[in-house]
Amino acid sequence: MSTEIEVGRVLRASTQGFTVGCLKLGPDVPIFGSLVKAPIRGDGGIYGLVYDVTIQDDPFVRQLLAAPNLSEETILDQRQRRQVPYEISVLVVGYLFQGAVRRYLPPQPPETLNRVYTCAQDEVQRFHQRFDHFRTILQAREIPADELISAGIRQAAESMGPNQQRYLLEAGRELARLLNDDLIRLSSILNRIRMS
Amino acid sequence: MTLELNKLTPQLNRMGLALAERQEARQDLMGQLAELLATMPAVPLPSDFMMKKLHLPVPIEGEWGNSWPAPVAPAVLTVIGGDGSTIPPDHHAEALYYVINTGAIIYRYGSQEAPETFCEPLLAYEETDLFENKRLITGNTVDLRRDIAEIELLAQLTSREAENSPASVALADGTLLLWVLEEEPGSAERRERFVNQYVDALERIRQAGGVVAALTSRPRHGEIVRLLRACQLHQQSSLTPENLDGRNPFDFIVDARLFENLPPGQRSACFRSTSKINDQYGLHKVHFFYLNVSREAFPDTESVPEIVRVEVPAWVVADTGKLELVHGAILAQADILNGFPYVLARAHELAVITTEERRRFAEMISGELLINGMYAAPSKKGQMKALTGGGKRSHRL
Repeated sequence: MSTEIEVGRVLRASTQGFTVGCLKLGPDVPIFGSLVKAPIRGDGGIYGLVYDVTIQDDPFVRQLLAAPNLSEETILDQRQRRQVPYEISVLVVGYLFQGAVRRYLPPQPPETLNRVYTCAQDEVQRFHQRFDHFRTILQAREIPADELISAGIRQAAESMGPNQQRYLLEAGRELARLLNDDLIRLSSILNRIRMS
Repeated sequence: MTLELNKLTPQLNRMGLALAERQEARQDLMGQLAELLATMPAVPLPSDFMMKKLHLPVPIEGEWGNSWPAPVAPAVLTVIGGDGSTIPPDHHAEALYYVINTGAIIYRYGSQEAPETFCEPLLAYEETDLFENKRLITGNTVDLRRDIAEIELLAQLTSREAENSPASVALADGTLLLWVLEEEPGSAERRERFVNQYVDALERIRQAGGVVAALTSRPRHGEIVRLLRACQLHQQSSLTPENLDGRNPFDFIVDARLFENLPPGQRSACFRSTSKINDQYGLHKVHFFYLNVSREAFPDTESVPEIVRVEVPAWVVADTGKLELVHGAILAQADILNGFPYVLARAHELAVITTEERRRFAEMISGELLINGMYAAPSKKGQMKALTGGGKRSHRL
């Protein structure tokens, strides 16, 4: 991803995470493990990793499941016109303040209805230059933390261009340092980030 | 809780038994009515004078005991569904106002595009809107204005679609008849004003080349049952108002039960409505038919009939192509949700004002009045209703 793409708007938020509502899914947006940013006052922003995309249960949609021949018009009406947003859950992993990237929790969450964007390639590279946020992900509760950190690393590696292998090596070393007392978990995560 | 369900349980048991007994007792009567429907169309109707005097529906198609098969809707067709909802004026609220919210959806078969949706809210607060003859208008008057807003939105959208759509059907939920005008006292001038507004919109749909219909789900009308009873009495030379409308075994049997034998997708004959207000509709006089919108059953299963009442203006009935277009469009739409037209379900969703939205709007009203230097609050009764109406708790000893 070389440019920012709008994901949606903040529905609700806390310091540790926020939920984004969007009307439709695109081919590249949102992707599990991708780095997104909710701009805040000035030129700041809150960074997060997408860890869940939910389509809410809807009784109206259930009624349509029994229709013998669901037309394209009906499907598009349900997907594009009805106010049943997709909900994208984001784990906060850092923030941007006065031009500097901080890889720990921000002082305040983003505000409701703030727009949220995917990060451009250069911003992804910049954020992933350090690994301070790995601990935040590994210690997060009630999210698929191992899957998230693996996906985050894979996507960060893809943005590194010629430095991909070097990045993967350093990320792996950091994981080994953090999980030196849980080798099974370490092995599982390393297997997931192995790039083809 | 204040509704003591345990006290209702024995009454509920008696209700279940009574309804089951009533259903069983009516099986014979349904058989008699089916026989009448099969035989009465072959005999002369009562005179025009008696038909009018007794307000009997007039069959338009000769073989009015027959059913008409499902036509195939065209591949390129536009169906426009409209609905409306209201917040009526409440003298216990923060201020006197009413809201009408109309919703509509344009569904273009064959376009491969998402339908277009519309929401048009209207807030009325001027004294000229809220009072008639210096009296606060009733919810019925707001409903009348809502009906007119709905049909005007359908007319506007039909005119807009006229250029691009070779066939368009505007569908309203409920009735084309402003029946409230029959029940509310009011001047002839008032009735004429409302009817003219409504009929103007029907005419705009006609001029745009569209067709219009209204659909009632689970209709409670009994006009055809009454017509059959009248024909039976006429054959016995004993048709009088007293005999027709006195106690008789067919009381409370609705037309929808009579037409449960319609095969899936088929409609009844068309009849002209007996409603008094219909006389003021001119060339848009309302006619109706019943239609079974259920699907064909799977093999070895029975189809459960879903009978709806469809109302159309006279100029639709007079044109076989237009009538078939309405018939086919309703079936195509009802097939999506297995019994209720999709555009009407969506129009309702677009128009409905939820309890939460009413509450929030009331807060907005209070806020706006405060900004303008006015303190406004519900009446004490209104406040107490809000306190006691929700979140009931049982008292624990």
